[in-house]
Amino acid sequence: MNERQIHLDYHTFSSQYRVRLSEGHTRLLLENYDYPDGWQPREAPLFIRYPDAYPRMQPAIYIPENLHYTQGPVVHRMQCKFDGWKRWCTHHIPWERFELVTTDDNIDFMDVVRASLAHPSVRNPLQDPAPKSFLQRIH
Amino acid sequence: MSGSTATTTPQTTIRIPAPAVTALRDALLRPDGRERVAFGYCSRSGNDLLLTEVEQVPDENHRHSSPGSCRPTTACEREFISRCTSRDLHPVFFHSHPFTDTAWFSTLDRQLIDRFRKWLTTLYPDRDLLFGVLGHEEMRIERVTADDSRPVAVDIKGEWELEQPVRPTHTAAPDAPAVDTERFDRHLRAFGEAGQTKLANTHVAVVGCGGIGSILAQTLARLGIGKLTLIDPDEIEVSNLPRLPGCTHGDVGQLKVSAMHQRCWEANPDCDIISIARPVQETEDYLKNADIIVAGVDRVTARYWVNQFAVRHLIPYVDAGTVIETSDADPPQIESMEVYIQTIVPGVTACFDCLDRGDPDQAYRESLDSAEEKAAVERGYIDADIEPEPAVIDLNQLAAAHTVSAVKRLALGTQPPVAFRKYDDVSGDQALLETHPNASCPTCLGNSLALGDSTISSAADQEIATAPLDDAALANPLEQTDRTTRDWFPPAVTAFFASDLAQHPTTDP
Ligand SMILES: [Zn+2]
Repeated sequence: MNERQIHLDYHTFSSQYRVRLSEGHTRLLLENYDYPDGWQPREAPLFIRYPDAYPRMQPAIYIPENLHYTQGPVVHRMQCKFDGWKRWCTHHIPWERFELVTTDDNIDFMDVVRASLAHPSVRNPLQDPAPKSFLQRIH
Repeated sequence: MSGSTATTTPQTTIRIPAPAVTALRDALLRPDGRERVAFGYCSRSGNDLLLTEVEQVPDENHRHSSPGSCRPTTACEREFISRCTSRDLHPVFFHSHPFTDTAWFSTLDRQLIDRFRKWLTTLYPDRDLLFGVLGHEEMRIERVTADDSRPVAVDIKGEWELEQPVRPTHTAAPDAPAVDTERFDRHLRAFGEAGQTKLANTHVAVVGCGGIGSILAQTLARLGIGKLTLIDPDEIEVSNLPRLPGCTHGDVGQLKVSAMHQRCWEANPDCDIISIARPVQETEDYLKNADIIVAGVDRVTARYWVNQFAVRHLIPYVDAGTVIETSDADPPQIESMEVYIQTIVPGVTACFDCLDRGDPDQAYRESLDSAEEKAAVERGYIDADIEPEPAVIDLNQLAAAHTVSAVKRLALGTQPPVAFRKYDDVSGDQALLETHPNASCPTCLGNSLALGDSTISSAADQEIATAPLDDAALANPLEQTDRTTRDWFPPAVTAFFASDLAQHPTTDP
């Protein structure tokens, strides 16, 4: 695990959220993540679990288990071992540029996570038309 | 004074990949024959130091630079020290002696070093302070403390890449006992006593003691490698026996490392063996002391991790793997039996990730905990059961033989190892490739190279890295869950993070 990269993530997220990092550098909590329209409440925590081989491997994303989506079914929410949380399935999101979050205008991993949260009934936000336009809209 | 005759044994080794040595030469030894200064940035790895980053001091930042002396401006020196401290790195002040082939510090150099000692050792007691001098053929580095100045052993990684060889004044001291000339008689006729002594002074960590690793460990012991660290968390199963030489039914249920420890000791009682029955990700402190890491493991996440560790600590790593492709027919027909051996010399050759090796789907599966794996299977993201891959002992022996060959070349330093070897035992086709670090590699040319023990990259990070953590509360944070009182945001969530996380300012540092 590359702690320097995790620190860079921390600083980048800090400009937008209240951020906490575990001392072992395995978890990063965004306390007030702004969930897209349809989620209740809109402002809630989201946590990122870093794998041993980060940034070679993509991190895992978790959302509170009783965060509600009011506008339809949700396909990406999976059981996990963390009580109170569900894993947000991101296995369809490519991890090719090895960037969780960037300060530039490029679409990064968290942008696609946001797109899939905005369209939680869509299996793959990179293939379906609606999320693609969402990505274009936010950039 | 020539360092080559020094009698004291350096306690510390500084590892420098060949490209950094070339960068130093280019910065310091120019055709005009003037002395110049260059800055090096070091990180720590246990007792050792790692150097990959060299900064040329531009001519305009030299107070003077002549064929007999040189000195950068004070401002330039201060800025360098400040960059080192804010990045948790240690400074090396290099200068050149273009008038000579050898490397030594002049009386004038010593006076200057003394002034730096007074200035810096009290101001930054936690920094290592190093001075280096480069002649045309020799390099000398000394570590300066408040009390003394001692030579540091220099270990140039990938020396074969240097257009002009540079000889360190000090290298790691051979401290192995005399070679058993009777036992190694036939080796001595091939490697000579000096070569066999080098092998006896080499510490190899063997990650994975399965089909390839078990052969590797025993062959390395018989080769005369002086120290072996064997790592594998698993026990021997009946289905392993056809691929574990020396193991029998009586070994079933025993830890693989214990069985291999015994076999290696029988093969060479002079070999110092440590066995660790843990996942490799938990063996950092053992791996850090290895001269070479070899791995023959199935788990791609383990290979990613070992690769990143090797790149981070500048330790050569030989990755061995086999792939047997069969037809879907019943009975299956073997289509190919391939061996892949990659020799990774961090900063010099490509790493595992430079070549984008590994299987993302397999890595994803390995990254899931049991609850997540069950959920992923239910959703059809991954297959319910994965069948074991075919494996046979003769292919593992081929892989192990090529891996030992790479270890031998790295340890003896007489021939460069083959950076990447692919061999198909069905067609007989072999590909031997040279490799170079890939500019878009997330590991080697990201910021893992020579990161060493350091976790911080800027002054702002020190605030994060030094935040307190309540270890006791970490054990079972979720047991504190109060399900009756929790609302949409359960107390477990708060407790989970309150215990594991340190709060930090919300403003952008
Ligand atoms: Zn690489």
